[in-house]
Amino acid sequence: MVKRKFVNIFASALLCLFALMVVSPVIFITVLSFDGGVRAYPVFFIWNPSYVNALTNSIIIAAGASFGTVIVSTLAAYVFAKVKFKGRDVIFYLYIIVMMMPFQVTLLPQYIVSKNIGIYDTPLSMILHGIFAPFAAFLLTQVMKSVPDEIIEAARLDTGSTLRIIWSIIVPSIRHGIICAWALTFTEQWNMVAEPLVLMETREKYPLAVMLNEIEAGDVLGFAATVVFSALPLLIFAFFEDEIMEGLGEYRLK
Amino acid sequence: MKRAVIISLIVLFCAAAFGFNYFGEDIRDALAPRVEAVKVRYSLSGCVLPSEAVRADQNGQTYVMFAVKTDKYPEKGYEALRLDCNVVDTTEKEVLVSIAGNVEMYYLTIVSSDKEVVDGRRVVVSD
Repeated sequence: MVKRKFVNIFASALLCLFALMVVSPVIFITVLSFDGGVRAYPVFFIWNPSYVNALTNSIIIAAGASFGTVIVSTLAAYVFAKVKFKGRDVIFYLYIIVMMMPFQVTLLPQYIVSKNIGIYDTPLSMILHGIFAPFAAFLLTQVMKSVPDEIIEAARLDTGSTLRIIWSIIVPSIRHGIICAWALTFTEQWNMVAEPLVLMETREKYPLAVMLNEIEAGDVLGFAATVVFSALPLLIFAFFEDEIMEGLGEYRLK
Repeated sequence: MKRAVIISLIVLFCAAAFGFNYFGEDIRDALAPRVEAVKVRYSLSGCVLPSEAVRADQNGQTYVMFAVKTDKYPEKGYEALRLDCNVVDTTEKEVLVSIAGNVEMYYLTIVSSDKEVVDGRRVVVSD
């Protein structure tokens, strides 16, 4: 009994140490950003326009890509999960293959496509590629498989419109999965560094993640920028915590 | 209740980002102390330079470097941005900026509109 108690205490202490190691950079940066009071924050928002401009770019890119990907992926997931046609599995496997590829592989094709369709060096180059990223479609396909076919068939007796069935029947059923896909896509787009550097060249169009690369030791403004940068994904996670955990749980059970 | 607080914070966050981005110029102008600026035209042929300025030729381009007294770090970047010039060096209270040749440049006088010295504070160029 005493030995078991000792093991529990030791395990708890070890886990606390690991948790501290994970959280310590955030605490460290947050404390450093208040070096000299809250002065760095007004400087971030008012006196240094490049940072707040980059923050706005981040919001536009992440919000545009995440909302777009939810719309496109829900429709794609419905086709993959509920519509039977020849070659469906092949296309789905292609989706998975693209998803498993390192993003550096698809970066050059993205650059060439952006150049050719005239969206290079615009936020649209980031948003469009984010919208058609395969992860959300894959996740929602797995979640949508849990919706019974009978419900869709019953709904089809009332209306012939597939879009109406998706909107009225399927979307409420997989709400957690959609929110989870949205939140994960938002965070992925929010954190992107390499893509903006390749797909954009005007400094004023860079998102905040790129600007944070330039932080130097002792740069209080940079620390404040890091805190502001990490605030929005944390707020989103806090708001949608239940939905994200539930959405990931459904995805894992498939 | 928790969700209401979080959604308010998210809205506040986004509103602050967009608000300060689009109205930042007006906010900066409203908050910053006004100072007088002397316009100096600089050309390669006949140059009129502030007495503190240093002329240098680098990589086939002529640069004029002069010191602008400013507050601490972030404001220096802002000054450089406003003047559309490059920061060459920074010291405790001064930032050395360069302006490429053949440009119309502003020589900042570090006095306010009521002639009080505002040394060590952020300044704004006004014509």
